[in-house]
Amino acid sequence: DEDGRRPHARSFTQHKANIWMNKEGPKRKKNRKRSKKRTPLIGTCTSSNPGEIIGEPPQRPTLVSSEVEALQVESPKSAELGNCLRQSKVTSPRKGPSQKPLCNTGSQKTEPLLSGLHVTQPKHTEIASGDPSKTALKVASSNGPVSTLFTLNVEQTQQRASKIKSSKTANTESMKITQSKIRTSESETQPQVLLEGKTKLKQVNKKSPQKTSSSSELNVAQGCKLPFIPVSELLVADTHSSSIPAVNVENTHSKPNVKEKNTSSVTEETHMPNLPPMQFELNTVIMSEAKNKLDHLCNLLDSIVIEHSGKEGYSTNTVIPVLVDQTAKGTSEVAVIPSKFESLPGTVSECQGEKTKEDIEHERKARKEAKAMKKKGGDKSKSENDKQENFNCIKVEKKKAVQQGKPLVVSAVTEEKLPRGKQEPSGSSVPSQGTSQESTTAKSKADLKRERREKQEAQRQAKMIAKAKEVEKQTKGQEQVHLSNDKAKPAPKKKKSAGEGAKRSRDRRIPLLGHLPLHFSQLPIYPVNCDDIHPAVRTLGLKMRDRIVDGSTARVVSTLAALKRFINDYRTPESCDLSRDLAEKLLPNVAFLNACRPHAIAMDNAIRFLKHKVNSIEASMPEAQAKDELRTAIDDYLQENINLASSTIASHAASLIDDGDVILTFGYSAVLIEVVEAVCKGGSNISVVVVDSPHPSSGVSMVKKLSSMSVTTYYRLITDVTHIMHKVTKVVVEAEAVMMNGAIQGICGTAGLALAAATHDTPFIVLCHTYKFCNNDLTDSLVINELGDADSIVSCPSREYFGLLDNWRETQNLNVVSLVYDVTPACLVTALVTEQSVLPTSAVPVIIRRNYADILGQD
Amino acid sequence: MSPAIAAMKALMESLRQDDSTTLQEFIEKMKDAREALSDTDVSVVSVSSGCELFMRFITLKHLELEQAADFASCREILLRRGEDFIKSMEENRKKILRSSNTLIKDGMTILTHSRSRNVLAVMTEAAKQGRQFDVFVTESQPDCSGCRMADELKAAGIPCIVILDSAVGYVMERVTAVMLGAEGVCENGGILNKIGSCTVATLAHLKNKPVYVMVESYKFIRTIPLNNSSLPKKYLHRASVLKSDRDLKSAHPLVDYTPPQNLTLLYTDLGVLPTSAVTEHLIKLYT
Repeated sequence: DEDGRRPHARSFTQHKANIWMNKEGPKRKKNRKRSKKRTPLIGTCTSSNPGEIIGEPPQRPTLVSSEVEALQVESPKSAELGNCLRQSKVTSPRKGPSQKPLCNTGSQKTEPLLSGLHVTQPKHTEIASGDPSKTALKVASSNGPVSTLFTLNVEQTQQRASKIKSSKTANTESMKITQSKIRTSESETQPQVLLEGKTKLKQVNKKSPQKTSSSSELNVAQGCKLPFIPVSELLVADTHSSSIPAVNVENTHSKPNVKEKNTSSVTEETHMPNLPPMQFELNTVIMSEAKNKLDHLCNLLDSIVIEHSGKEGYSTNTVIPVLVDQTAKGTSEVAVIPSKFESLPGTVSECQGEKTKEDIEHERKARKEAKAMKKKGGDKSKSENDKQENFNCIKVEKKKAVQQGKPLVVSAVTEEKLPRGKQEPSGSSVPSQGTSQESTTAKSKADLKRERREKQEAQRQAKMIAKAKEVEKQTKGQEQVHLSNDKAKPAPKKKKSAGEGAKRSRDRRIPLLGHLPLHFSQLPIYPVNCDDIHPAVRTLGLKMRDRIVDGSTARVVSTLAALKRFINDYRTPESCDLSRDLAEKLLPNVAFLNACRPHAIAMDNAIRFLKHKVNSIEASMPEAQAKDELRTAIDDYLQENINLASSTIASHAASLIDDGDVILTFGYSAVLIEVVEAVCKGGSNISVVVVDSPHPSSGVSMVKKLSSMSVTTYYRLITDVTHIMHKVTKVVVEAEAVMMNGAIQGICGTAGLALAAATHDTPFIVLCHTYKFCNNDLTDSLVINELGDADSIVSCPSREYFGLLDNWRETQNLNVVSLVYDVTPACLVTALVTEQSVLPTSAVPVIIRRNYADILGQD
Repeated sequence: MSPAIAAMKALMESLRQDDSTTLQEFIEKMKDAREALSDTDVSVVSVSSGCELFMRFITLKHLELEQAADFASCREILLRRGEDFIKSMEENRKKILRSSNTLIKDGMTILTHSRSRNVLAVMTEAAKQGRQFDVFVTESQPDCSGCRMADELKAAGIPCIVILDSAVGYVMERVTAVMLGAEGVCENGGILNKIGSCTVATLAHLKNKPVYVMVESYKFIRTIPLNNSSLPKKYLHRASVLKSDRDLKSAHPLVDYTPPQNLTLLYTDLGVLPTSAVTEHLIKLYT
């Protein structure tokens, strides 16, 4: 609810979160395997962007930069090809962005860009020639990414749709503008000017943004717009006449995606897959028209990309992921049309003009009708009308709607999703208008204006509905309108500065700990509607973020359970290795979990185990069997390493505890409860001292459980542990992880406890499952750690000091730090109780080498 | 002969006279024999660990045993292996001598506690090589085993002085190195040895004197005592004392536990090991 009340601020912070993730989240490890596959060209740009590897946010930036490049490509080409090749020229910008992802994901390092293009081409034609409606449908159902695109933020699509008035060049341009607009409105430091200046856009390109922004003047760029639009219209008409539904279009569109994915083994990206098809189509168009020019074009593009690769790195860092989503969507939508075009037999440009005109007229009338109906009947009727009027578009939209609705239902936890989902009807109708508008806009300014007005009306209507339903929706609608209005005028400066201030305070990095991801207590971290994150994973991620699932063991168990569900629901795309595809589809899920809360080392181990299992599945194995194998592997892992191990640890530890001992423990530990149970069952009489840290005080539940077992229990804070240490005979704690050198990673405070125990010569016993052993050496607690909620420290319950430090972020030179883990050196640990036996810390490397050789050796 | 080797030989003898018909029955019988051996009034630590290792070694590769046609051939294999094992165990001391060849240098003053065959062998070897060094031997109550040690050292021509157990602190500043034997080596590298070893090692540690332990690898045991009070009773007292209904609190313990922090190096037949290497050998051996 809290999120709902302030949607504006939320989306704001969400973007921030995305930026964070983009910058720092996935720095570790995951780069290696993938980097091999990249072209050298792309490799440079990816390496400059550390966040690139995980999930969507990282890769979106490259999209943007590629788009920019594409625009640049236009200039040399136009110079060379001249006016006769207008069409290919227009398409070329699209080719740019699509090519980029391809390179990113697919081709071998040594393989030149050009060859990559060639490789993909035949595939596309093949698909186009085949029966797209059947095969592609399947793909669409099993393939997440496509739907992901469409489920993207409704508000943004609305904006986009309203902005797309003219040709496709204008389209991409306008998208760019929206980006820059939003960026400025959100106080991002990357204005439109920077993009332009960086990329040295051609005059045509520069003018088209102006045109779109002002919306009254469609002067220069019209020339290049016009030739293309007819084509798209024709395509629409053709699909109508041939009675191939629009789904087809989407399918053909999605099919190459999958293919591309298969060949290039891209799975990190949800959005990327959408782009390749465009490329194919565009390629083929070019091939049909100017085959001999293709190589030359590619070379040109190549060189330009290389030229600007350095700048990409910069732009990628500053671009907001969600916005790039938008671009991805836009480009992909654009791509639909060429694909239709491809599926048509042979017929190309020349004669398209008349047909399209008719069609446009037809459509416009239908749309007017629809709008009138809309005003009367509200959203549902409107969408129905739309359906009648424009069968193709609506079908696509429906799909979107379905896919939007589905995740909403499944993951109830995602609060931020709710408002969006409710607004969906109004939002989904707008893009359809946008696509149809694309064609009509070229006709006249008047049309454009009118349509724009209509669109705004529609938005307003949507807003009204939202108002009636809920307050939160209303605010969101306002936001939408506000943003759409923004395009005419520059972003307000006040907002920007305020945003910057807020950002800076959020950004506040603590010296020495700048490498650790910041703690977000309330922020939605990830863009909501993307399909490659399984609902179970999403739910779990949010639970972990909110510390509902806490403690390394619980997190490992629930992570594996969620991933098991993910594997359950997974279906291998056609002509795709399960092991390769699944391994890649696993990545965004894992990344999401990491974004919600940095992985515990135990989680890393468990995930590594799972990946190892996935990778070791042979290609020949049938899917059902493979999935079965994976599921049983997960079950076995949980059973052996956690359930059975816990009881074994309990019995081992119980053998170390004698009658009359006073045990001191720290915080909550499920294993320790088992130990105490085992000791009590053995007839020994012990008492337990539970010391606790104030943030969070997990020891309370420990005390509750212990006292329910009728064990004498003392509860006190860790601050006065020295008072009781001399009465304690044994200190028993549970470790979060054990490092290669025997050092123990535990909840913050464990190291201090160990020192106190050493001072009093009290045995310090550590309980740990061997699956938590980690092949890292930690000498201090700063390298691998996690920042907790600093606000919880400064919130002081006593009246006298209440709220004194609430605005500590604004205070200069003040750093409030709440670390989650600390590291206890091995020399302070008397014994390490594992399921294998009671071991000294010097046995840790031996155990790791023996038990985890196959998995740990992997990376 | 060390009690552990003797126990192994006893096991070997019972193996020869064994008349069981299945492998399982044989293993059961051997278990009984081991318990009986542990019941005698010897240092239980090394006997039990030696016997366990012996059994483990001779029945190590069950596969080979299972492939044997009948139990008679099985016993052949077991006998052969047992003899091999005992032979190699008897060679252990030579290996220790080899690894500690250069340990004792001219002019050293060595403090040793109680009587250890390994320490005695190392010192005798050094003396044979003509090294000149002095030895302090603690009296090592309650059995005055230090006096026996002193006699044997003198017989080997090594100048030695018997000191009171309570005089360890007094002589420590004059000592260059401490050499100890061990009845058992725990998994973390700490040793179980004649009572008083902990005092000696701790004082040496305090004065930064190196503490070397001469021990065979069959004395490695898979336990980690948290501290001295957590040592099992069967290690602390002789079987006869445990059986009699005496109050154990007033009974003097025979061994104590020296934590690995107080030890410098272990000279074993596996080579010169730091204390932290013990666990690796144990894990290799038992898993």
